[in-house]
Amino acid sequence: MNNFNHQPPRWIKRLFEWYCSPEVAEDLVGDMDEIFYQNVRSMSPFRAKLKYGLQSLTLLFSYAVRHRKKNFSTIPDSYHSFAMYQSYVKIAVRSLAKQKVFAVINIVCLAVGMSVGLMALSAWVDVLKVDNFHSAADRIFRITTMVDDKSERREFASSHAFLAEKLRAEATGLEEVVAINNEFVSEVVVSPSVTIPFRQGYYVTPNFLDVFNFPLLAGDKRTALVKPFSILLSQETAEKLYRDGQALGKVIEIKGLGQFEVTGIVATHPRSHFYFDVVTSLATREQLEQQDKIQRSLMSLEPVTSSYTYLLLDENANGQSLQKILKQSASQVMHANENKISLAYSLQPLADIPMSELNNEIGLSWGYMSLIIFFFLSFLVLLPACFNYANISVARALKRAKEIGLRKVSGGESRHIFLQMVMETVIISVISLSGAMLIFYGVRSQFLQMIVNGERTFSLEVTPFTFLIFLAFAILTGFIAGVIPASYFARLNPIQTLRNSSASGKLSKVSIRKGLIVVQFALSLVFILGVSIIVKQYRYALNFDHGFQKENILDVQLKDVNEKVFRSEIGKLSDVQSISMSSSIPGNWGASSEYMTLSNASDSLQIYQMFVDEHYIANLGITLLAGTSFPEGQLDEEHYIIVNETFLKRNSITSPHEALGKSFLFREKSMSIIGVVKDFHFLPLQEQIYPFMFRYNPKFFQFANLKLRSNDIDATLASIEASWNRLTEQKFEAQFLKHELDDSLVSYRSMVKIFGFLGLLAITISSLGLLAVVISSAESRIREMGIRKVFGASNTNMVMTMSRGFLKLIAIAIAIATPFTYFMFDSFFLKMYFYRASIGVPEIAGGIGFLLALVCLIIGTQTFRVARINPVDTLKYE
Amino acid sequence: MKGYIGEFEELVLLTIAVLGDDAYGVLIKEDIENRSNRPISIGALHSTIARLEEKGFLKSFLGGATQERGGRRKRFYQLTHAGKSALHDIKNLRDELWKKSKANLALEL
Repeated sequence: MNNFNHQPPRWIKRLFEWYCSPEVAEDLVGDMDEIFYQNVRSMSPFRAKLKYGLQSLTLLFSYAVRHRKKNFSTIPDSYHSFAMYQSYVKIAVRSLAKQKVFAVINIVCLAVGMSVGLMALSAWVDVLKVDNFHSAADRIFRITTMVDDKSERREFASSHAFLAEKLRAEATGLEEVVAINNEFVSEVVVSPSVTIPFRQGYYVTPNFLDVFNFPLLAGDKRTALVKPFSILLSQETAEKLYRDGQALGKVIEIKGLGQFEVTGIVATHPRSHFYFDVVTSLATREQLEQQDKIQRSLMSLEPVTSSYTYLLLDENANGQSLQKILKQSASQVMHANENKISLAYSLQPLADIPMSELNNEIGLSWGYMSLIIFFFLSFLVLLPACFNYANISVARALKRAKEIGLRKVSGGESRHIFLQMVMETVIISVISLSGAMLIFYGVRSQFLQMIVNGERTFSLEVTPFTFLIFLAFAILTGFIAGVIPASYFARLNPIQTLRNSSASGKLSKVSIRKGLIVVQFALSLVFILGVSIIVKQYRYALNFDHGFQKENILDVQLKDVNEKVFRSEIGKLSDVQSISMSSSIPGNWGASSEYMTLSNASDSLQIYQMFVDEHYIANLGITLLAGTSFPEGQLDEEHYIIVNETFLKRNSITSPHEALGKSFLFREKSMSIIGVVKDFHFLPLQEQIYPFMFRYNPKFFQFANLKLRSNDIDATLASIEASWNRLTEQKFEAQFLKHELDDSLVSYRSMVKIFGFLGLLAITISSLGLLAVVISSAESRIREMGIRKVFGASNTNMVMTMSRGFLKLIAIAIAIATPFTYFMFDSFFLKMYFYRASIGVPEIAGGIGFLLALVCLIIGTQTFRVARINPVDTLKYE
Repeated sequence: MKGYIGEFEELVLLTIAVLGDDAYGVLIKEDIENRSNRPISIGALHSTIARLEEKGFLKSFLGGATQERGGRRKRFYQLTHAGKSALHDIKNLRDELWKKSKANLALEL
């Protein structure tokens, strides 16, 4: 009997019927089905299906189908023939070729609009691919900890170390439990004088490599982590330690921890949320704890730990026993913390890790917020470009209305015209894709440099897969951009279009188009003003008077050199004018802080402090208002502090002289004020000036501040380094104070870059859009201008007439954007900086002037071109 | 004689004649495959049938709904008068040729 368990492949049948139309193909499909059911009885279903496919293919291209379709073509439903699409493409190419200027404008606009989108998409693809190379990736989960300390609820990527042991012993349905601790941070000792620090190391259970398939360049993954004091190196680290990278079997010394044997090298692997230079076993850590080489923390029950637990679930695990144990353990930890916090564990699938934003992340994190902002930005750029396209197409409608009318009269239906117009847009957007990819390649490396860890978290590579996504994106963009003009054209009434009633090209009642121009230019102006405001703030910060001298001060890291030895040795150099010592660098985040109870108040006051020597204040040119600097010569105990004006204000001391000699109890020690300095900016400009004191304690000196007077900085530096090398084996590290402060302004520079880039895109799109609208409006008023000229209008007169409408729109845009930008920057962005440049008239006037110049150039050239035409020619037009 | 008939076309026409009222795609295909012992594709068969219809040697009509084809109807084929006479013509031509060439065609056993 018939075997109905197996059906012919549905999609083949669908495709066939779609191509031939069901009416034409009914008996053919019937024949094929019948043969299939016969075949299924005598051969395997797979072969029968294969045969079915082959047969449908021979039929599809056979004369029989062609012949039948030809005879059926009077049926209205056969519109999806190949020839129809061919004709759409042909018409699209022709109409593009006919309006070259507009085609170019459209393509450039869409390319610019899509470029940011491409970046966002490829970043998204990068995030999707993170950690997908582990064979059991879909069964790997991480235990995360939700800690609620009454004031705040925070979720941590870490969990407690005892969980791993407990789950391994008690839970069912678990294949593997991997415990990781990320406190393994130290340096590899290459020789007594040279150490190479590694950024991140993990202590792991030996099954780490079974669950996570990091490829090993050398070594055996089954035995690599079994013995204590065996270590895995990343390929990068191995190549750093040994020039040929052949590290397997070598013994290396880790500073403070002992000798480790290299048992494997982890090859450069696909992107992962793990980020390590070295890996060793947790058993090693236990031994180190017993030897008291590191602090005991493995069994800690603090709310937040440095331990991480990953689970590999069974194929058919149900989480019940797991959940129960997790609940028990959570209450155990809460109990240990005297129930001051509430705590809960949950399971997080491996695939969700890159997109989650947890505290205390084990390695790299990407975060969904930045992706969302990214997509929002690209949307913000793409949308005006799409609207532009719609705007231009509708503005050009007059040229094509007749064509559409004729098509409709000769039987074209609305949907045919809709389809044709959408096809045209899609073709344009696919062409723009190549331009967008050019921009994408151009800015990619810049972009990667701008984000933290950019090179490590994103590759932004274009693989065939991402290219397909790009293509789909381009087609979708084309569709979105094309829908408005296409439905406009599809609705056109053929009688009206053929009656030759010409619509006026003035920007009269087309309010959407007006609104669009206003929005685009307002957006552009926001970006232009933004850039100029940030640049001003950058300049302001660069030339800011911190209250101390920045020029010619070289900060040298003391490392293991005694400051007295340093002073006597380096002080011999003639180019070094004076030397002082300090614990941190002013104008940076380096200043530490202490709390101190005031004599007259119950509140304790936070006071920032720096430890300096007696030469510091003079060396950096800090103004001393009263008193003196620290007394010369060594003091066994701290007696004196030097404070700033703000300190006095907080303590209600009115004059600096009054403050001298006053004592403060500080950590059970009495300290008296020996000097008062003028307020200076010891913190970056984001912060206001807080109460501050200088203290004297050589133990905390970390930097030597050399004041140089030299014409040849390079030679001076070389001589200092030469003296340094006589003192110690450590590397000489020094930086000019001025450079150090400038470097902390790097965030301004990337902000200028981002704003500048987006502004450039926005300006390009809106200018091109305006250009197209002006051109088409001017062209449709050629005759009007001719008549005006005959009646005696001058060129300037006519340019004014034509420009007036546009200039009004730009004026509206300026009126909207300026207060908006001012408000946005004044109350949000600059709030981050306590000391900031005010937003003045010059920046705003400059930005507006730039925009106006651009707009006048665009409008002026086009209108002037039309105004200059000889009226004899224009009135002969048509 | 109107229209030229190829070898495969002749085979199809004759098979349709043999099958009589039951002549539709699958049966024609099977019959030819069984008798001539060669596999033919359904595409080729239907192309030939389409050509024969175009030449006016065949006419077709749709039958009733059938269960085993998912309710799809079969298209049955019948020889037209022109088809029959074309077959007769070619048979006459063959007979004449055979008669004349008999001496040379004897198989050597």
